[in-house]
Amino acid sequence: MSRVNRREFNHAVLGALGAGLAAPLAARSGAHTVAGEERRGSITDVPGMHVGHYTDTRRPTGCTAILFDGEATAAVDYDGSAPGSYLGALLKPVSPVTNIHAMLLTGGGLMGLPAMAGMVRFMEERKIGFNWGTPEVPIPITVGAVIADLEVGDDPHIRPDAEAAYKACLAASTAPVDEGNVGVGAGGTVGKMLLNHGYGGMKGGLGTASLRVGDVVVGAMIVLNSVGDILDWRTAKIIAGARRAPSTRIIPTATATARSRSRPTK
Amino acid sequence: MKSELSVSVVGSLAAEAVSEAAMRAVKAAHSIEGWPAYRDYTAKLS
Repeated sequence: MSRVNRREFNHAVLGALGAGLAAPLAARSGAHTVAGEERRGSITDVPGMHVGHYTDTRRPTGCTAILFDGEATAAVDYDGSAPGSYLGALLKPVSPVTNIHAMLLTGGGLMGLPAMAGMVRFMEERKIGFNWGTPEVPIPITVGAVIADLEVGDDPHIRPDAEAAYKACLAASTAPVDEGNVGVGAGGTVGKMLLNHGYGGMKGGLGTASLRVGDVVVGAMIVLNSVGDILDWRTAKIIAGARRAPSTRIIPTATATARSRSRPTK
Repeated sequence: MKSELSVSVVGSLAAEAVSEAAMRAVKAAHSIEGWPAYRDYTAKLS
């Protein structure tokens, strides 16, 4: 993959959540132009990107693996106060490690972090990694992040493990990425800020898109698991968020928060 | 290969792509017990 350095990459993704990668493109029919009305596309339109899901059938949870042809420049931006991540420190600007070999997004909250072992095993079996003094054992730089989804479904003991991550790696391909309740998006939910105040949330999930300008393709993939609302960025209207349970009427979280101040916590 | 495209432009594209991906995530989601989905709402409206 062609790549920019970390400083440039940090600038490029500043303000954008999720994973976004850009690469000059020779010619690829799957990506879409900004000028066109059609704005579909997938992060796998970026050359060298492979994505695979593992979706648990026992509870809404799962994980999604992102693999690369070779290495990829990576950076991180933490906007939340309690991120659950694996080797996220490697992506800080002061780190000498600028490239990674794979990334895993998984459900299970902090209890899902052990799933990373499956991705490491997958990489080690294929001898993918850097030579850090042990040529016979290349060190794969695998980073990961979790979403808190244990409250979804019946059994919080069910969460992605190493085997799940390994299967997600096996499933990785350059095909268009499935969206919605798949992989790490299986347990994603939104509008959860006021669950203890009589408000309900809505289903989130996994989404992807890509844009092309000239020879550059920008791809994004996101898992929605937010306490706040999701807005249509073209109309500024809320399309998913808090609602007055069991009603299906969406109430802006800001409005609901103001109302909840006068109500006792249940 | 180095593109002539400004990294700021790439950043803007990334923001748009992420926004679009978020919308697609909502619209592709199915409801599960206790968590209705966007498509449930649009189905009731139509």
